[in-house]
Amino acid sequence: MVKHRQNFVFGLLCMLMGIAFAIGAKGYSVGTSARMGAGFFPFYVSCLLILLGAWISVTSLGQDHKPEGNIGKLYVRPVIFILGANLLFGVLLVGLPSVGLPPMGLLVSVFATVIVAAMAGREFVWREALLLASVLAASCFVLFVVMLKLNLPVLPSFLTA
Amino acid sequence: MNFLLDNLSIGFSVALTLQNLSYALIGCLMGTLIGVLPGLGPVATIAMLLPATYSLSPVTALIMLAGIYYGAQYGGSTTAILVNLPGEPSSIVTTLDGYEMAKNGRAGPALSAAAIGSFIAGTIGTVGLAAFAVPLASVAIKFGPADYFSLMVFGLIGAVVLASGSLPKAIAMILIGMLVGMIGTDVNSGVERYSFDMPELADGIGFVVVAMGVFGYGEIMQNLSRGEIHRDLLTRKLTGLMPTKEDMKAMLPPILRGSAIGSIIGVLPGGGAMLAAFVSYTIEKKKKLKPDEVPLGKGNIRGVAGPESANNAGAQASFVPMLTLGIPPNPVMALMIGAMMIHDIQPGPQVISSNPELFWGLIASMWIGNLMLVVLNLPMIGMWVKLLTVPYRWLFPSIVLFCAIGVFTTNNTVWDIWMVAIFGLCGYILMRLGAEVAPLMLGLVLGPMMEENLRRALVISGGDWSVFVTRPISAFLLLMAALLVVLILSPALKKRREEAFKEDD
Repeated sequence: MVKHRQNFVFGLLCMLMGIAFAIGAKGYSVGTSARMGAGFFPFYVSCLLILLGAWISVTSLGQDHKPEGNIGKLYVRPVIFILGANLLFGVLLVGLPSVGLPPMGLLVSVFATVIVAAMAGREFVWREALLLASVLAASCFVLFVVMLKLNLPVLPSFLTA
Repeated sequence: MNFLLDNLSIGFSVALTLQNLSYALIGCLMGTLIGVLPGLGPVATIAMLLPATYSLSPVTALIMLAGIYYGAQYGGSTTAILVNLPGEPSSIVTTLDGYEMAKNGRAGPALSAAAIGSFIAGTIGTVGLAAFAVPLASVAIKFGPADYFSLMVFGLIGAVVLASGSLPKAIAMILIGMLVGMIGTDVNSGVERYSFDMPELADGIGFVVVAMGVFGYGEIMQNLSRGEIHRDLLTRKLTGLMPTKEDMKAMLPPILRGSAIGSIIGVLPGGGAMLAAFVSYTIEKKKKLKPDEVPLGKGNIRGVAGPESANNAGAQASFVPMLTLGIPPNPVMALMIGAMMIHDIQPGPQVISSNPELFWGLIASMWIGNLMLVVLNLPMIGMWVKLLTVPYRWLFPSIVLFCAIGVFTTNNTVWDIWMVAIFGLCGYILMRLGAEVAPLMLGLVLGPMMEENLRRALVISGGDWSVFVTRPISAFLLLMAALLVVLILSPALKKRREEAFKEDD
């Protein structure tokens, strides 16, 4: 019986990560303490992490269930839209040659990113999101291109070529 | 003393140039802004703005970034007092008495107590920084690799002992951070570790990417999972900013106590603004009340003046280990170290002698920045209050956008945008599992440094591990670290620590 679910899962994750890094470290020379190889430090840090993870998991077992340790509902919506907006920004800014998407430039990327990110919230109003995107697109242009002179493509490549 | 004045005059001649003054101002304004706005802290902001500082001189860049950090402490107190929501974690305790004062129609004196306290603390903190940094650096320059390794162990242990939450989990987060820091080319052997033959991973994972993913995106997703934050603005119009004579008399001693506490705690590893404010509040609460005084928690001005002074002094003092030892006591300082390395300045005890204008210029600018914050913020308080009414649903898409642009422009590669998404997801998962992310950042920065010093120490000793206990400095530091662990594990203290951290939840 798990009394503290957060700790139990966290400990398991630590063990997994430690095992993965320890296996990786074994691929490099570990060496001796006088002549440490590339694998020495990561290997022993991984071992510590595995032990600590095991300790955290084991101590989270018990009978008296602790409600503060519940993980709670996992919200997928913010994760998808926030990270999606971020990825979309990258894809639109530089293009995706493998699907034939040309670089779309800063302004298009800003619009898409802001609108998709806004969808992560509970209340999404198209008019508001468009207004916000317009304001941000204008201020990004002034701030990053005019003032800071960063080397960013502004318009889609097929318009400038 | 003369020596100190000479150095400060170098500093002021650097800090008072038009360019540095204007960047200090920009930093302070930006810091206040993010301090007022919920959901965006100094770590994410500094990470976002790092690329914009590439074209600046190193001292100008650091002046602006430092302004963001201590400016955020000012801004955080405004929201704490007016809407009962700390803009920054360091203002959590300010809500207790500050909001009560605002409810009683004394928001003005509370705000000015915070501002005046912060300014006095900033002045004391600056002088302290100037006075202690030089002797500390001259000691640090004698440190060997073994001593540095032990110092980092002590620093990391201190950081997790002083932080809230579960100790084993915080240590695990440090170890995870260290392992992530191992990714990339090993400087010693040239072997590419954990890079899966990807050239983008050969340079390692930048901490800007991790900071932005975890503190920027992770934080937003966590906030959105919690639902819309309700912000009830108490006073739309503020009148009577000036505190009365009695207020002044009541707030001066806590300001001085808070400044002293902040200066000491800020230097400690894992210390900084938040812990300083917390300790100051505890001390003010223990003080005997005067006959006509309202108790703390019911709107006592001491409960605002003390913690607000302490958090500002703590923010400034945390520059000491960063500037003199090259060791970050908190994630903000880890980013500052990154900013120095971008400009080819190796942080460490040699900075004071090799870059005196940078060191003293930064210190002088902090005092000027504190002055700016008082002068600007008290009259402009109305504007900051208006900003509070900006709903979160407008804020977070803007934060996502600026994070994405900031990440991209750091190296001008889209690779970083994929990486930041991965770390955002990891950060969110870890936060949902109740783990704190600050220790991860410290591990990430200190991990490679620890490996390098461990290697050097053991090469010198011929593989003999006893070098860590036979060198006096190293032995002392390890002993201190062990003492900290014993202290924290002792049942009596453990219980009190848990209670203490529960109180401010």
